[in-house]
Amino acid sequence: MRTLADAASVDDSAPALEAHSLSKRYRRGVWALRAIDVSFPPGAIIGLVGPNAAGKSTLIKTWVGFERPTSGFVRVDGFDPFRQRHEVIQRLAYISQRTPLYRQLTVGEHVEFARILRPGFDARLAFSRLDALDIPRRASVAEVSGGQAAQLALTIALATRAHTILLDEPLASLDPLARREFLSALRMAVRTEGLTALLSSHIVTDVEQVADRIVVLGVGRKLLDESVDAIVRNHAVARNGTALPPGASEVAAITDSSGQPIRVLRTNGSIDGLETPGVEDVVMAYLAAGRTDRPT
Amino acid sequence: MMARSLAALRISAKLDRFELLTVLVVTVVGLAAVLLVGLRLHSFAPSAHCQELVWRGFSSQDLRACPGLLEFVQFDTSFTGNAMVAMSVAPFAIGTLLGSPLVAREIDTGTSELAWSLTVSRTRWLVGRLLPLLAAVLLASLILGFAAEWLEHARFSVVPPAESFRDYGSRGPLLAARALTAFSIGILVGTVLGRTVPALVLTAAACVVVYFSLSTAALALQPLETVTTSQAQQDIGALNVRLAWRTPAGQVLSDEQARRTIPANSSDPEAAILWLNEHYQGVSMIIPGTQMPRMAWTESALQGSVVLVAFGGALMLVRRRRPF
Repeated sequence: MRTLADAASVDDSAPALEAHSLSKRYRRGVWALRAIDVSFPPGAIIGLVGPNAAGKSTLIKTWVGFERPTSGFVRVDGFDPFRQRHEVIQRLAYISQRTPLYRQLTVGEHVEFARILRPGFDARLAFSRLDALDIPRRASVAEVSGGQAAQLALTIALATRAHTILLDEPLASLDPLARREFLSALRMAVRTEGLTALLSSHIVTDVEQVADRIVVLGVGRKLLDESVDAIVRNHAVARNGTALPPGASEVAAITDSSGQPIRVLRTNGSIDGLETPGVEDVVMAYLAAGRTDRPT
Repeated sequence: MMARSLAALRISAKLDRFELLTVLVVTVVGLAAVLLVGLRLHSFAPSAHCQELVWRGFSSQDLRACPGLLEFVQFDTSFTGNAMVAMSVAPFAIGTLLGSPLVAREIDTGTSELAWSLTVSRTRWLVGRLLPLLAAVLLASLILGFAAEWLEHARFSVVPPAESFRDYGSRGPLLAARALTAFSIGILVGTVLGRTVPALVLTAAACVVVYFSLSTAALALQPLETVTTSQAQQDIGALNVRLAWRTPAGQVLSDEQARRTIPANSSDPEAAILWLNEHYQGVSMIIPGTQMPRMAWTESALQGSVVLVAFGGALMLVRRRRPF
């Protein structure tokens, strides 16, 4: 079990999460991931963005050891999830898309359950967090709201004292207020504890609020992998009629949030006369480009 | 450590409370039914001689010597027989009900994703989940098994139940072995399928196949004794396996072998029987009642090997399979 206190004892040169030439094909013959190469250093929030069936969940599940790669490999802090499962699970906390909790158990019993299963589980932290969030310990999980259930899942994940948290679309079923509270709690926990978090979502604005870096997946391929700052810095928006400036290349022509046609350009620096893009516009442009460049 | 074990037990019991409650109800109702039927049988109080008549057959003259025998037989046929049939099914029902949803429901509802991402050892997780249920399966089936053993004694006290094949498979510790088999098969099937209802159905079907296969295998492993038909009737607790024929030279032929020796012109079935009786002595191949424990242990050992294979398979699968 690795906590912040002994974090230094782990090989700091190893990325928190990495995938090399990772491909995954399901039995039906569908490719979920194709030759994915990513490497995330510790201590950041990474947003994993893409439409449904982009391969986000599959990628996350290979790190947890739930999905075996068809080719390539993944590592968690340098460890192989399939051969060194014990080491990997100790370093990971995972929140599944469905937020699966036991309907038969109360909130408090979930904490007990996690304490029994996970060596080093910090039940005191879990209970104090639940109390601070006003989530009653004695309430059955069937009685709590979707937002409270998601907060319980996050509480369990944080109380494992794992170094890396993988969150697979935890916001999907939450209302806007609950989403904001969840993201705020995640951001605070990650910043104060120095954790690595990977948050997947198909809603860019959610991820944009908290992520340091964004990876865009489309039809199983990596379309973009940059820090949020770099995404804004290295792209620009051209309205229709604007000529393509020298040194820029077009990512895709899309419509912006107001319905106006725009061209998103890759500029690798600011160019006079072009607008600064929103992160969502850039992500949308890469997704549109990925769709037209769909592999067969 | 103790507090943690108790908490684990409490949570495990809560996770499977529906199944445990059902098994509790089945056990209590079964026990109560056995007690009621047994006490009623006792109230007829037939002597050992009268009970033996039930086995050998009786005339109206016997009824005068054994008042209440007819009521005893009627009650025995209507209630005790059904109770014993229920007892033979109960261990499979208990094992299936507790075993098949154990992993299947976790996968079905997705909670396996939470549990398997928290635990550093899925083996430990499975063992922790199944131990309380294993105890429940053993306890319930042993209670019912010994209650049925008592009922058998109340039903027929002429021969001790431990020296009789009467109601074999409906009583005694063998029920626990059968329940464990169903439980382990249920866990394996549930782990393979990952769906609760199909796992229940398939486990029930698998139990039927395993039951017939192992009973047949256990029977085949028992040494048979050849006795005359009248001797066979003397051993009330014996299991009559099949009829055979003894040649004047003392060789024992199976019915099929003996029939092959009938001259070709004796094609009439009645004439064939007459011919066989004229030339051979009809005998019975039996397992003496005293051999019942040996047969039960043989079958239990066979069930035990199935249990080991099924548990081993489930453990291996849980370690490797996807939690969805």
